[in-house]
Amino acid sequence: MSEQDFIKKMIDLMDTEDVITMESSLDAIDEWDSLSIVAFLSLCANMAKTKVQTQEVRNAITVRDLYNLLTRS
Amino acid sequence: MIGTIADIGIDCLTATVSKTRMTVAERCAGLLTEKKAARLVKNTGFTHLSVAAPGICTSDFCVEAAERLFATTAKKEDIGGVIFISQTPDYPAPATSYIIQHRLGLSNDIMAFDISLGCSGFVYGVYVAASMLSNMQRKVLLLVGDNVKDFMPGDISGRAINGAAGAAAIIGHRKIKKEQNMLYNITSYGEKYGIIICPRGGARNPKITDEKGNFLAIQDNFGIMDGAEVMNFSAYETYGNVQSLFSHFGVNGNDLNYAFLHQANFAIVDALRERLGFTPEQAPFASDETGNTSSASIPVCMAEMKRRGKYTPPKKALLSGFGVGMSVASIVMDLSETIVLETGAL
Repeated sequence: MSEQDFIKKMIDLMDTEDVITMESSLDAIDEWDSLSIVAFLSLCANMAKTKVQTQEVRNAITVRDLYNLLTRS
Repeated sequence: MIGTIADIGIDCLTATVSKTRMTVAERCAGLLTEKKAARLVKNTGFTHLSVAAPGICTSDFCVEAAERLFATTAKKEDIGGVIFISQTPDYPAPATSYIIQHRLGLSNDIMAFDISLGCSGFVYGVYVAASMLSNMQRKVLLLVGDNVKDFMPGDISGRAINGAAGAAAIIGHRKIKKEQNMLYNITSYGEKYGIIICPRGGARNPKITDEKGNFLAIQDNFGIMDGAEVMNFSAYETYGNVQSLFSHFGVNGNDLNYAFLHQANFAIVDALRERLGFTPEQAPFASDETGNTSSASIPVCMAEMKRRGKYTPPKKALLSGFGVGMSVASIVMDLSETIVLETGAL
């Protein structure tokens, strides 16, 4: 998944109206909450090559950190 | 644990939910913004939740469901065992199955017991009933469900997804071909017991009270669920359980008419469905008007589909329950002869 597609996916997943970039801080996005974490894990379960642990998602600081979790091999 | 059970089937089943249905916004009034409520509905798929009237217990839903089976298709004198599977019994003691035996007017010449399980409960119950029937000539009445009433004040995590329901099924002998045998896989993950837990109120830890003995409104006095861990448990342990079952017996997912997955919420059912390679038609989500009804959710899904005119009796179906324990129970079985009555309301 390209970075651009990932950002689109995350905006849809979080249902946010904020402007999101790869460097956006997750803390600053109101909609990055438990609902979005579950939705992101769901995305990972069906797209990531390796299992993404819940703690890894909770430790993520930027949108790029999430992208790296999803796309790591 | 993988195995097969021959010559046993589900004769009939149905589910009962509350007459009272609330939207998530109504159920969580004052706790959610309009936007958050909309996001919750989009993710969970629950437009409405079944909310029991004050004084109504899980067993009341189960009795209503069982009475409808006895009024239409089953005979009380055939029952040799009653199993009640729930985490919301009428009393800490005695077991609720005895109260139900009495309320239904069933014979004293019967065995009755409760099992403490949540979302894997219905599939467990089918397995336990089927195992009992190997040396019993009568039938087993299986009752499952939950009605969680106490939520942490101000906390929406349970309130926004739990629905109250009870279901009843009758398991009996049936002469079937070998290829129609029940195929089961039951797996347990005690190391993950903290993912869904009521940490206080049992023998290990009393509820925390003030000096007058009033329960304090702190999370440990109520249920705790790590939703993110539940998602991963479903996507990996439940997936693994079903995959092992399929590969052991050479089951091809495409050959299944239905995959009834525990209706935890839409996001979980959909992620698991996609991972297992089922179409949305094969693995339906039909709990949108009831919420997550714990061990009753698979019968609720079937009864709701029946009510909506969308249920076709399946020759081969997967039933997979997963949750508190943590526990997974899956069965592949023939449900073509099983009578499903549409959802009732109490």
